[in-house]
Amino acid sequence: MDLTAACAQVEQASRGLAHPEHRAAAEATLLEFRRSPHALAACRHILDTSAAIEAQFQAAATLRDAALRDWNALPPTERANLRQHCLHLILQKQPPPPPVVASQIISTLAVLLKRAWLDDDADRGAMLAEAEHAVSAASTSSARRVGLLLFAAVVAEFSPSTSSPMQLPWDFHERCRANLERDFLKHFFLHGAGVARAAFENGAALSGADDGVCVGALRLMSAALAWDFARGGGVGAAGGFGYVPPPSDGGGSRTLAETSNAEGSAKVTPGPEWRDALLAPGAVDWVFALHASAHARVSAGGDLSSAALNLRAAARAVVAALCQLAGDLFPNLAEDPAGDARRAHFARCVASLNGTTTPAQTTAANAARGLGEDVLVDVAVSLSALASNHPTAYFLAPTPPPPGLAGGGDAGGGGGGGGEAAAAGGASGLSVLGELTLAVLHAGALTSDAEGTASEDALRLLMDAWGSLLSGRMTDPRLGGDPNAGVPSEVIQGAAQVFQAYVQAGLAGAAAAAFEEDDGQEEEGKAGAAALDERLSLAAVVGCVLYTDDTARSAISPRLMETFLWGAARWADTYLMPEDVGGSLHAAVFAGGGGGGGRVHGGVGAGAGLGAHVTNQPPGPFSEHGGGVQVLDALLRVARVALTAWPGETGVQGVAAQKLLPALTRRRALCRACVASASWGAIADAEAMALAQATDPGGAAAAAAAAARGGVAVAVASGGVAFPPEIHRGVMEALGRAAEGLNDEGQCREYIARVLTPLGGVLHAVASDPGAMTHPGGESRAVAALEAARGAARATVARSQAPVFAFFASNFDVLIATQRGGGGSAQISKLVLRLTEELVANQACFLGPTHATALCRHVLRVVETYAGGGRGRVGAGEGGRAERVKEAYKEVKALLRMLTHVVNSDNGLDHDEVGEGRVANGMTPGGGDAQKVDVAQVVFLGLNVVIPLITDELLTFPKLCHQYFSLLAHMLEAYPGKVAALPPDLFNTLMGTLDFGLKHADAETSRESLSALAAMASFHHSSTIAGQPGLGAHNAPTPERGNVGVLAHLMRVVLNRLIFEDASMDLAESAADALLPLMHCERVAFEDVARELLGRLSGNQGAMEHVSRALTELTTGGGLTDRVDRANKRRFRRNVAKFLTETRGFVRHN
Amino acid sequence: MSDDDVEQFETADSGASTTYPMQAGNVRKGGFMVIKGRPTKVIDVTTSKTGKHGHAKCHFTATDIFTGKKVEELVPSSHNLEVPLVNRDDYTLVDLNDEGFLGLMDDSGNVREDLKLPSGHDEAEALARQIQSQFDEGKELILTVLKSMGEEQVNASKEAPKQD
Repeated sequence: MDLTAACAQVEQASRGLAHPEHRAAAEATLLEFRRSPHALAACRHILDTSAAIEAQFQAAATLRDAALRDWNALPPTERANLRQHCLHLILQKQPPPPPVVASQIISTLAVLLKRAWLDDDADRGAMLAEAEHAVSAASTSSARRVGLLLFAAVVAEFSPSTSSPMQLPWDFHERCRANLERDFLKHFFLHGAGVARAAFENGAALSGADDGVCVGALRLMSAALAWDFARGGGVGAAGGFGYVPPPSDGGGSRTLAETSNAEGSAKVTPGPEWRDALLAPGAVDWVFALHASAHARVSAGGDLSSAALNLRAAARAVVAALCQLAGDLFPNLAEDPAGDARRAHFARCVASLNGTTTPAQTTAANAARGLGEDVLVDVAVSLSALASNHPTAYFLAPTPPPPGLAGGGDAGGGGGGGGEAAAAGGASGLSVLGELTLAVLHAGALTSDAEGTASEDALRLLMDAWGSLLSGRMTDPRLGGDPNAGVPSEVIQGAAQVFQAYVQAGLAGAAAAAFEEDDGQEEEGKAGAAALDERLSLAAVVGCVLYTDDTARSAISPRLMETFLWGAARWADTYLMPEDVGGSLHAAVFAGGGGGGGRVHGGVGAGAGLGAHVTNQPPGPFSEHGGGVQVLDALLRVARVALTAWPGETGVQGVAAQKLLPALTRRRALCRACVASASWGAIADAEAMALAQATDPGGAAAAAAAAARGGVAVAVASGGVAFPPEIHRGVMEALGRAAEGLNDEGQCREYIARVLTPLGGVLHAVASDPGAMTHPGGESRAVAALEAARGAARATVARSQAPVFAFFASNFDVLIATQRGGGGSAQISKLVLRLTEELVANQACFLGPTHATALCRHVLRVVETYAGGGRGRVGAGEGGRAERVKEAYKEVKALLRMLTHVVNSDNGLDHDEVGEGRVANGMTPGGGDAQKVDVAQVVFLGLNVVIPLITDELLTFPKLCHQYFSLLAHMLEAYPGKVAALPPDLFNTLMGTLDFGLKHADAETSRESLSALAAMASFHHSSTIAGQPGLGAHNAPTPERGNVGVLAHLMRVVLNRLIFEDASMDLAESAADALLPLMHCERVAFEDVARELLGRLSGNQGAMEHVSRALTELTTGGGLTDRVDRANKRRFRRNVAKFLTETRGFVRHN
Repeated sequence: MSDDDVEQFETADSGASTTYPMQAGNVRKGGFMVIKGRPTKVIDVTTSKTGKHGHAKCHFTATDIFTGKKVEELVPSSHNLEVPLVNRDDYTLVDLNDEGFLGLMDDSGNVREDLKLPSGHDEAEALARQIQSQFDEGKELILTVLKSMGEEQVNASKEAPKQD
């Protein structure tokens, strides 16, 4: 194609892009042009001749694509030619290309350089020299600027994160990167530095006479420092294919240090060979001076021209990069014991930042108004980097004015800004950081308006800096700190001030935002709380402690508190007095690595460091001796406030009682600290008061009386605290659990007495006034007391078990009275049952025979009272029937669970002493106090009460069904003798339910029933063999069962189900276990069933033969003998499975 | 005039308060509360937290204990609401006349005849039919009367235990 024609076509298409109606066609043309084989030549033609900017831009972009595509086909001379053509275009073309085209050509040229970089015969130096030569040949300032821009583009192109795609393997990029970093990067930096310094020192930069050369040079420096050093950690360290070798200075602590800093500040980590360029005295002083001058010119001089702003921004970027220097660049301890180079660098940085931010208020206020936001963010980034990369102690030292500025001497700082910077010198890093943080807070960075703005970002970074300072970087000997020193008090004071301001500002912001209805924030709050890490939590703790006075209610919103409590609970669960802070190596590694952030510097062997930690271990942070007690105390005070300051805010109270307090009583060390703390006493008092509130004469009881007299009852509003019932449970449980921390038995008793006495009082009051329980106030009082009692029961620990049991034992009568009085209330009934259940579940394993008997008797009375009160029966046609059924279900389930737990409490001590005959007589409970209550008796009596309550409706709740049948199976297995001795009606009831269970559609229920049946049959079988009656009269044939005994009847049920109903083999095994003993003791009945089965098949000779063969095989096959033991059971299972497979098909047809 | 109104109001019932204040956060599922002047039974409570720093609010779903009508209410959890006093009394059914008025005898033998068969919604109608038919069969019935906020209604019936 003709070049001119192509040119015209591209010009037209480029213009067409601007018009919507031509856009599609124009895009198609341009894409076509990019793909065309002669694009390269056409592009060069367009760039040379066309006057249309759009066309030139398209051509430059296409040139890059086409060159990359055709690269392999291009002869080397052509490749060089291409580069020179580009150089010519940007340097010599008249008129010069517009900036947009020029920058596109520059990036194209950078790509071309990189593409040629690894060519076999490539002389890389020459390629760069060629460019440099072309620049100097042009000898205009704009040409020099272009040259600097070109180098910056090259650096960016070679850095993997900013490189452009070339359809080449990763290896290519990696090798280019390694090569440039090794051979050229520093030269680029020095070149930029040289140019910029010259421009600064001859005054051209500040006067604007250099045509942007200085800015270009500074940008080149920034680009060089933004290089991705971290990957290699040094020259040539990274291999190809992105392989990053393990850190050369070894030791796990480095990894820890890095992970602990993973989300921390940015770092610039050039290797030690950059020291002369960056750290040598005087090497970069001029940069700071330049920045100070440029800054002064904008802020003080009021020069807001774009040139001045650009210069300031470029200089600030370099300063920020310098502040972020870290890693092996700094000499390690072996090379520089006093850390002079590091200290000097730090001082330079701080002085510069100080100059930039003074006065801090103005900086922050400007940023809040949207002016110079980038200044604030850059400074914050720099401070955060300094804090995380350098020892805390440096922040305390007043920084001397940088040498280059004080005397205007050796570095030759000629700018006008030197004076101001020098005057501002002398402030310590800490004061710079503190002032700026306060200023940012005052400027409203925490208000909701500031969300997402630079102020918020800056504040976050500054808080990170504080976090770094507080997290004990001083203790890292590798950074020159003293391992035995704590965080310096100046830092702590500063932090306290800042946190106070933070909380004030936060609260003010919260107050302002309180009335915004913003539902979307809810989830965010949770996530935010989850993200709270160690130090931010600590900050919040400090904040809350400052506010745990009575003003809390007005100051902090309950939602804020809830989120905080949630986070604090999580934090405390992990970090507060953790168990693994002994002298273990792991703990030492954690303490050493977690404390010292930043890059680890070689020199001190990691092993030696660890050894020192193990032998001379300072208490870990938040361990029992490391400040944990104070934090715990603070959290307890917060918890108390949360419980009492916002009556009615159940969310806050719930989190405090059910998340925070359990977390604080999770470990023994925590409990120990809790019981010793006055704040814990305050919580106990609060709970006692809340309980008493309900009993208070001015409270519910009086209200009930007042209501009866016609007065206006206002109970809750009478001023005290009132907890919702489940809060009572949570608080009481935590209180009880804390007894774990008391070693002395007497103290423990005393403590439990103190905790439980108020509860006892309330229970008495409740029980003595049963009439009040029909009143909502009285009911809620009873519910509160019962929930608190549940908490106490659940908190049973070995140490406090005896006094807790004594408490309940002395209150058994009271509880029964409560149950009786509250018979009309679903809530009270349910809670009494749950309380008994939990009491049994938690206490049973500790109890000796006497106490166990007392407990069993209590259970029996509870069951009786329950049955006597007429609860659990769902009346016909009652309002809200579904609700009532559900209530009944819950109560019956609680009963069953209670009975199950009673079974578990039977530790076999009193088995032999119970005569079987007494079971039948002793059915009346309390039939003699001296008489021992037998577990089985309790359970069967309980079942006798419960079974009538289990209606068809209730059995539709699968949980209840399972609960019942597993209990039944257990009872028949564990106490078959007792079952045999049951009175006939109760026994028949049980068998009725068993019959029901065997026919139940749910496999799990049927399996439980089958194992119950198996247990019963085995018992009968073995005792008849031993000459005992077994089930005796219970197994006598009855007319209701078709004149067979109960075992024969149930066997028939099982066989019927197996052969005729079930399609699967799920139940075959359990059924086999039941059938084996049944078959032995009911042989006649079994033969009857077999005959019946064959009788059904009469007329079908083949089938009859087949089935009778299968029956014989079932009863004798596989070496089956007439004993019920493990081997026979196994054989019989196999037989049954085989029998079922063979017969089902025949019998079901008929 | 206004005095008379007050007087009337006071004497509408015995003067006793029929409700009791309770914090919204403490009203549970299954409990009672007053919504729009009607005694209701709570069938569901959800707590929502509006805004970043707003107060929690309880959303109640409840049914009127007399009419069975479903109602809803949103209350800040720290505010007080009224809980109706609800009494259940058992009476023996001694008479049922054609107009549907019940003759009810309490434990001490006093008979009242001011209540009708339950009506107004499906469940009540079903109960009324059941009472009617059982009464016609000559069974002795114990009726439970629900009383709250000056309103009374038969709520359940069961057969009297057979006297041995």
